[in-house]
Amino acid sequence: MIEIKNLSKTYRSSGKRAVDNLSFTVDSGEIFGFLGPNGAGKSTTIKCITGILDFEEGEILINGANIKTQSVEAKRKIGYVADEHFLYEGLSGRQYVNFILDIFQVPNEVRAERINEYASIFEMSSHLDEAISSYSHGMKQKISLIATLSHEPEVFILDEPMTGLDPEGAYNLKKLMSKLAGEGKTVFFSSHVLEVVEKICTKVAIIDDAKLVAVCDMQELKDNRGNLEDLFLKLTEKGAN
Amino acid sequence: MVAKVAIKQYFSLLISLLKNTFSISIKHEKDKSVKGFKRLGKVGVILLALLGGGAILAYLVMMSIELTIASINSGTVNELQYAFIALAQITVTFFGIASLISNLYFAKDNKLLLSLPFENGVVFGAKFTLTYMGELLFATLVYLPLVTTSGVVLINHGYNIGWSFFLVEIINLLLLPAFPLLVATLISQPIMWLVSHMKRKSIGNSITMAIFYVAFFVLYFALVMGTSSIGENGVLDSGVIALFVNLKKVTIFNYPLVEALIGNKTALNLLIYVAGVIVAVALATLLSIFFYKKALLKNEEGDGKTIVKVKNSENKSNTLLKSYMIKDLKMLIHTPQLFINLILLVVLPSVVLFFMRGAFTADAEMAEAMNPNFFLVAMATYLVSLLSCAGNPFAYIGFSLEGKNLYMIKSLPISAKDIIKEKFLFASSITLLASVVLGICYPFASGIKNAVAIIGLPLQGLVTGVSFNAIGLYSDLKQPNLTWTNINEITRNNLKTIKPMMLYLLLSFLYLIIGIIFAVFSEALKLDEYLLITIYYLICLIAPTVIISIYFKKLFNSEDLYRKIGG
Repeated sequence: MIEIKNLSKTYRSSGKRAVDNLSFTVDSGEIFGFLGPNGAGKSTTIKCITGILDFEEGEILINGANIKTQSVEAKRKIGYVADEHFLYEGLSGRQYVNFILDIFQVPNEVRAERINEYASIFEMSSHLDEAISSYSHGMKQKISLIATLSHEPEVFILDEPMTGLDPEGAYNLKKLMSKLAGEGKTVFFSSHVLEVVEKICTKVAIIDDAKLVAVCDMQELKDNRGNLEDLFLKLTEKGAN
Repeated sequence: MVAKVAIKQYFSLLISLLKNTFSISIKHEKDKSVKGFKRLGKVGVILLALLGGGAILAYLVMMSIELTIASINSGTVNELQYAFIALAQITVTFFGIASLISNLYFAKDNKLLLSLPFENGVVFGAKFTLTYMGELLFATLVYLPLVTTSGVVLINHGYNIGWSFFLVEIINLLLLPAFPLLVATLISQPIMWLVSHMKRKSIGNSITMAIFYVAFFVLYFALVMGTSSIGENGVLDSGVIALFVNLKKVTIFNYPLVEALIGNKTALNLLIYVAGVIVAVALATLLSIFFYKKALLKNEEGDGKTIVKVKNSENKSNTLLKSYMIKDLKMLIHTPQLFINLILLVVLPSVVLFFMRGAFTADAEMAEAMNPNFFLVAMATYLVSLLSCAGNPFAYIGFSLEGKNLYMIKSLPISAKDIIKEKFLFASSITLLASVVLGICYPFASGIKNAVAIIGLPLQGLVTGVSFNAIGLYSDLKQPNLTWTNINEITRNNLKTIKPMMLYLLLSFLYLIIGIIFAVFSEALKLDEYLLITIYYLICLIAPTVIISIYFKKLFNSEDLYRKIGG
């Protein structure tokens, strides 16, 4: 569960308020889509949730742990895949995944099974022992996903996770997201691909110009014969607020 | 429990960082097999590079022999050991500040590490250790030749230091980078925390690094170059003795190392030093909990979100060359490691010449042996040639500096020739700037009034620098390192960049040797000093001119190498 209460973030350098009084909750078992135009504040929000950026107002709780005051405890519950992933390119894929699992204290006995399982899902088994520097962009995305999935966090935060994935990889990721939510885990992800969000999300939040403009239940939207694309365009149109 | 987790995380991160660094090094050293002349050329370059390194080694050994004998005669053997340790620690500080600050604050992996659940102090500890290991190399290069030679000379002169001296020397070597790096850490953490609150962080970072280096050089020259060398009858001058005594006072924290080295309660003294290091590490780690993470969090905001109002910012077209030069200039100003290099390149030669003026004031003995003015000219030429090469990263890592942006640049409709031309012109503009500043400051800084020398030195620096730009860029283009985590890794993980530098180290040393020969025989030659200096500079210009004629052509005909980047 992610609870965001009155989050505000102002960049000191420019004085620009990148996130303004944001509040919403992502429940366990939900796949929560986070949408917004470029520069709306999506990445800033995600960086605040994952502890990469500091913020001056508000509170973020990850399954009850405060990211500011209990940062290590909160981060232990998070599995994060960044939009622009940094990987140690001198390591092999396996070494990188094991490094992440070391940090999350995953016991040795379960590692091989988990790594092999996810590597097989993303068709990376034969590339695990190759240097990351030789990977394509999509393969790097897959190794980031394998590392994140293998430590089995309670909360998944995925920033543009489909970028660079081949159709099969994207399909498998969507299936995995649904499976994880079914197991009671929280899946929070940002995307610009509205079709994907519409298809797999249970709830969607839309942010525009640093402010939350809507949180809607996808089932309700579908029941009212609404369309996510129309809703998004309507809410983020200049002057709509 | 928390400590156990922290220790596990620390080793895991450190091992991953080492594996990452080490495997990238190996990858870059794996080269395709070369045959025939190319192979011969490669062997030649390696031999020249080895000669360059050998020249430094020989210089250190000679210096150690002379100083040790003079110290025996002057009764300052202990003080000399303090001086050797201090010299190694100063070297560590010089290279370590940039490494440490880059590793801690400007590494590309900071964002990843911030998102992971590391216990307090783990990231700081692992990165500090990584820097420490790297700095050991520099400490080894300085400390081992000096102290090993000194030990052998002491034994030969009947000193009862025993062979344990050499064992303790190795242990000392492992310990001595601790204090300079810890001091740099303790000072840098609050400063970088303050900088992280500035609006223009990158410029703030550049200025901070500049302040560090200026402080370092003031300390260095005040301590080391403030006095002249060995006096009459093989005894140290009173100035040198005073310097050694002062050094001992300033570096009194090295007391246990020196006592252990000379065999006085070795085990106990080493234990005391290790305990001191542990306390200092604990202090630095504690400080990191308050400052380091907070500075990193602020740094992640970057300058990118700054809305900067620039005058005349309306759309304006530039030529391709100008537009790339502006891009590189901005990279230079906003990257602290590069900015500090620029400052050093432009300012350092004049500062060194100023201090040299005092250090090499002729005494009667020296004046009898050689022409002191000419000796000063030779020393100045040596130093300026050395600095004009090693101080310009746009020359030897011009392409690597682009990192993965180079792939993007390759995708643009720009010819390889244009990119190569821009890189060469940008590197040469820096060389030109340094030469102009040197030309203006040289007579005031060095006190030399000879017009030929005043024109000759900046000209020599310019030609040598430009020739280095050609060979350095060509070498970098052959195998650029585009997968670095911080700028310092570019050269450390790609020894190709070191080879031209070693070659120029040797070349600069040759300028010195030729100059000393001229200084010694100037009297016998009975030539006018103006003519002598003219001949000297004409000789010195031969090698860089030949290199320019060969590598200029090679560089500008290397579109194939550019196309091959990325495999």
